[in-house]
Formats: sequence, structure tokens, C-alpha cells
Amino acid sequence: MTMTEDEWLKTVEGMVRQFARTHGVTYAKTERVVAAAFEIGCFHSLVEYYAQTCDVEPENLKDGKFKYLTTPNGNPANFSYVVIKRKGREYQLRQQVRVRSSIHTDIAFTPDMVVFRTGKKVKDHRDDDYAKGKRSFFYVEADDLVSFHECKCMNPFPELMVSFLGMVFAAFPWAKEEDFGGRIDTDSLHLAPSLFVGGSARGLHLRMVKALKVSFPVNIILGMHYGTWELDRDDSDLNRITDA
Amino acid sequence: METVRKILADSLPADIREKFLIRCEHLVSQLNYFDEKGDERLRRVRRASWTTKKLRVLLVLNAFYQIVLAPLASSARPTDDSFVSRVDVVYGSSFVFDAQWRTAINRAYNVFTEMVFRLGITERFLTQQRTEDILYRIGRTLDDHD
Repeated sequence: MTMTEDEWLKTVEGMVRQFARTHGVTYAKTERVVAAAFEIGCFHSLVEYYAQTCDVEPENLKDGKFKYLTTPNGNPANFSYVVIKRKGREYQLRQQVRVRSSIHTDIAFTPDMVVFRTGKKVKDHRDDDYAKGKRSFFYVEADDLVSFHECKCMNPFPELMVSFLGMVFAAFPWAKEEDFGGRIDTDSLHLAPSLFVGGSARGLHLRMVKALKVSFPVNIILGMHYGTWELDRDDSDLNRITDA
Repeated sequence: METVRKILADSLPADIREKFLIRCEHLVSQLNYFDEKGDERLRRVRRASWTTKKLRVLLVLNAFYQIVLAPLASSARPTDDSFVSRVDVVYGSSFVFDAQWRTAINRAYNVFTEMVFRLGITERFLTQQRTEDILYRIGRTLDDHD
């Protein structure tokens, strides 16, 4: 039997009250934890993607736990990371490692996730303009990177998507070349620099996502809140890049 | 709407509560705008018993889902192919994403989505970005029933 509006409203109020009473202790988290949860969800998704075709294992666990680097100020040596192995090649997937641009050494920024070939180093130096020279400035050279990825726990909007391109151009001079330096390779293992976004889009925004993907060596991956997860599914049609 | 919004808002810490309330206000403002201009999509979903009061509640539930529940649940998706379901993740000094967390947040997520389904709200309505997207989705459902 169909409920009247009043019955429906009473029902939903009762259900939501019960839900909050029972599950509030679980979901009542600060904005920082919510954003962290989303970032870890994206990290899991990327690990799963590599695990489809590679050996993927965590390294540098602390007491059997994966210690997640949450800020570029931390020393990466003290945190966990993921090692990806395939056909004699080995890569590392790390979080919150600063990238120093190959265009100018004073240009540096920190993507949420980076992938680089094992053997390349996370470097450090002291700079009087950074923490008054008291702490090390950790970074990886952009030339040593294979790719990087950014996570945004929000709905997509044009300025967000376009600003991601700035990170790509700052890191990779080849991204501005006509054929992207020959880096695009549909058979490659690695995703092109990708922006993982929580929300979904329709209409013009969706067309813009597709246009960005065909115009630049990037992926804008929407809907990470609920269903996109399988990055290697047939219809995902993501840009991939070589590790050259 | 006010009661549902208040119940959920009161259960949240201050910073995330503010984000939740801002999204509620944004979505409801869009609904009010469509109402004022006599939007055809709105008239159509109303004829299918989606009254303004019910739509407002739906918008509040959408805001809660997108701001709170879905991002949290994304850290606990089921996984078979890698270590991520067996190794706990320690994030800073404040939070551990472990098996207990995964169980709890997955349970909350499932209870919420089953709850709203009983109210005639599909997950599709919760994942839409704007009020007009939600109206569009409801309209598509009505098309399927026609």
C-alpha cells in the first residue's frame, strides 16, 4: 500500500533517527578523516588495478601495519609503500612524496600518489628557506617519475579539472609536446596522470572530461564514491603512458 | 526535511557538519528555484508523488551520502586481489583503517542504502551532483515505469 506524504515523512524520520543512533559512532568523523578515507579508497583502487597484472606487495610495514605517509614533511623512509613487479621491472607506489619539476628546481608540489621506478631515489636536502634549514626537504625528481595521481573528495567542476593540468605541465615538459613525447601507449601498464574525483557528472561536465582525456595525457576518473572502482574494466578507456 | 537534517547534522563533528549543511542548503535552493519558475521536470515528478517535502528530504539524504557516507565507505570496499583487505592502514596518529573499521562502515553503508531503498530512493538518486540531475534521474525511473 502506498504511504501518504505524512506517513512517508514520519517513517523516514524514524529510520534516520534509528540509523544515527546505531551507526553515528561509526560515521561521525572529522573532515580530515573523511578525506583520508577517500584517499585510501583511491589508493586501494590503484593497488587493485596493478594487482590485476603485477605482483604487488607492501613494503616497510610497521608492526605488520601499513603506515600511510600523510604529509610531504614526513621522512618517506619511515613510512610504508607498495612495490609493483612485472616482467623484471619494479616500481614503487608512494603517497605524499613531493615532486620537483624538471623545468625549474624551485617548482615543487605534492601529488597524493606517485609511481616511480625502483632504484630512483627519494632525495632530501636542507634549505634555509624551508623550516629554517632545520628539517629535510624530501622530494623525487619529476624526471624519475612514471606517473602521479591526485584525489579530490568532491564533485567535479571545470576549474578543478583544468587546474590538474597545471600539475601535469609543471612536472612533465613532454606533456606540452605535440605527441606528448610519444609517451601515450595503450598497452602500457601505467595510468597517465589521473585525477580521481568522488562525485559524478552529467552533460557539459562529462563532455569536458572526455575532451580533456583526448586532448592531454591525463585521466579524469569520476564517481570514485560509489562505482568506478574497477580501473581496468573494458569501458574505462583510460590513457596509459610508458615508463620511458 | 528540517527534522531529518537536524538528526543527521547533530550526529556529526562541527567541520563536516558545516559541509553537510552547505550542501543541503545548496540543493534545496536549486529546488526552490525550479519551484518558482514552474520547472516541467519538477511538475512531472510531483505527479508521481514526489512532493516538495519528500524531495527536500531526498536532497538531505543525498547530501549526507555524498559528504559523509560514500567517502568513508570508499576506504572499505571489498577486495580480493591484493593485500589491501588483509593489512591495516595507519593514517597519521588519529586513525586506523582496519578490519573492524571496514566491517562497521560497510554495515552502516548497507543499512543506509537499504533504508532509503524502502523509501523509494535508489542509490542513483544519492549519487547525483545537482538537484536537476536528481530530478532527471527520478524522471528516468518514471519513464521506465510508463
